[in-house]
Amino acid sequence: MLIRPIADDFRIIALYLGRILLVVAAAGLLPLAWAAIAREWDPFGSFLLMVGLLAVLGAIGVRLGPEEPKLDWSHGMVVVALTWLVVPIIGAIPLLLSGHFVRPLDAFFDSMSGLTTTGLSLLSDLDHLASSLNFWRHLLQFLGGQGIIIAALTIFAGTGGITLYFGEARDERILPSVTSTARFIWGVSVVHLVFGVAALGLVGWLALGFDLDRALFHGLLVFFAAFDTGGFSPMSTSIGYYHSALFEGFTALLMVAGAMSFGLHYALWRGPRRAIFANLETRTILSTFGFTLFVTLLGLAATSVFTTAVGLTRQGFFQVLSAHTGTGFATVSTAELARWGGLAFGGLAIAMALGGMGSSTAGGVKSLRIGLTIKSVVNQIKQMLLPEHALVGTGYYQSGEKHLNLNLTQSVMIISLLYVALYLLGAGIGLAYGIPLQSALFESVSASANVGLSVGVTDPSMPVLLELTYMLQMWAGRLEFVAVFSLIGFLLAWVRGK
Amino acid sequence: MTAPREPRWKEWRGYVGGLVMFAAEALIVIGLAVIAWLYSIVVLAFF
Repeated sequence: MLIRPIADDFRIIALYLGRILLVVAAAGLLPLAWAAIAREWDPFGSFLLMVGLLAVLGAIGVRLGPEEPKLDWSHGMVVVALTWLVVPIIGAIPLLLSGHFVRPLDAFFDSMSGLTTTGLSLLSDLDHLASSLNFWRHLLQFLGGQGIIIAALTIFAGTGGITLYFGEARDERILPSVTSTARFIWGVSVVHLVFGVAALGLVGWLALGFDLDRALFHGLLVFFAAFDTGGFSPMSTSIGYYHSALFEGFTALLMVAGAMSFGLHYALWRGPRRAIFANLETRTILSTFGFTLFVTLLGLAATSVFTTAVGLTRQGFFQVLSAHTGTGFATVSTAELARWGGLAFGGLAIAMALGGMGSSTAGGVKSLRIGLTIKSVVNQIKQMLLPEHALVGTGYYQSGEKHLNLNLTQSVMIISLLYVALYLLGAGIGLAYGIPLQSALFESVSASANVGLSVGVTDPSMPVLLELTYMLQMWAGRLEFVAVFSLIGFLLAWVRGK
Repeated sequence: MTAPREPRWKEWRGYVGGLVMFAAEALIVIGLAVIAWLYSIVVLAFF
């Protein structure tokens, strides 16, 4: 029986949602200041509207909150799901007012794509977008990749912090408290911010001949999108714009860093470093990356797209890395990518579907789930081949010795299956609109796994239903379903509960 | 009673760790790229 939520449930949700909106309003002051400094007065007005709306709604939410809030599991999940709906809606205001979108829904699409670190875009004439708006698109990716909740948790933790933390698809508490974990995540990000922006900025300034301020602007924006595996880029031709192997190399480094779990960052930073390669997740991602890379390169060599080893390595390696880490940067055009047929296309699609590591900023099924799925299948086969009473070892190493029990297997299988269903949903709707199977599947996987590589289906003229489907896929894929189902359950209980 | 102060080099270890982390990631990317390049030479030889 569903229990109808009472007024206090709504007040608790309003309180936490309100607090998070206030944090996002504070983040919105950055592009506001940027617009003022750059004297971009039209975007300044739209940022002012956005920040004001976030602040007013946040204040109302906090005001509605009860005096002694007790955030339970379901409240936390509903807050997370709502946060990831409300923030993109309000965050779309400056984009909508920029005049760079055909339909209002397109601005919401880009905002959702940014926050979920997908990287698909419907923005027209990106190369002439105001710098403050370009900054905001990339900051959305940084906020979404780091996790809005992580941002909020570093400021307020309270009793329900852990629920909010897990709701945002993070299943690893690196340090004893959620607040210290959140602060460590920011520490890792700041290190990458400093080194990453300096490296990209220097390449832009010294090797590409950009002015220093332009080099740093591009470095910062590309850092946001690379480290948070987002995939938006300052220019319409993505990373191909720079025509620089060095720039691509540093971008690749940041993409890899973004797809690594924060637990692995912790092991690299503080040790024990020897355990890193013993982890099931590390072994799985190295194996799947190797497999998809070899398949893609083989496919490209077979179709004679590239005739030199350097060209083949540079383009194939970057595209597979971008797909597997869930970033979505490209060094080839959309039209050229669409021509990568056969094995190369399959390799890229599989890389996107598998995704990066858990508790990272990457999307997709995630390596640990893939590793555990393979392990449970192998165990099943062993069980069948061995005598009836023989015991099959269920241990695996992941930051310590662990056991693959039935509950864990079930949870891994369900989430993996839901991802496959999500991939097929978008592909099916694409097919219904007459899009060829290969393109429909590629774009659907790209949206669901929050990647952002495109073969041209995502376009301002795309059907509204398909656009809405991709948005649903980005949202559900980023939150790994649990928070989404909790919101649906909560709404059902509200309507039909007793 | 207060805990004894850590040696100065241990205080710095925390900061150096960030650099080690970044350098290790760079080595991973370079290693993967070299493997991809060697493999590319092999597959191109076949086609």
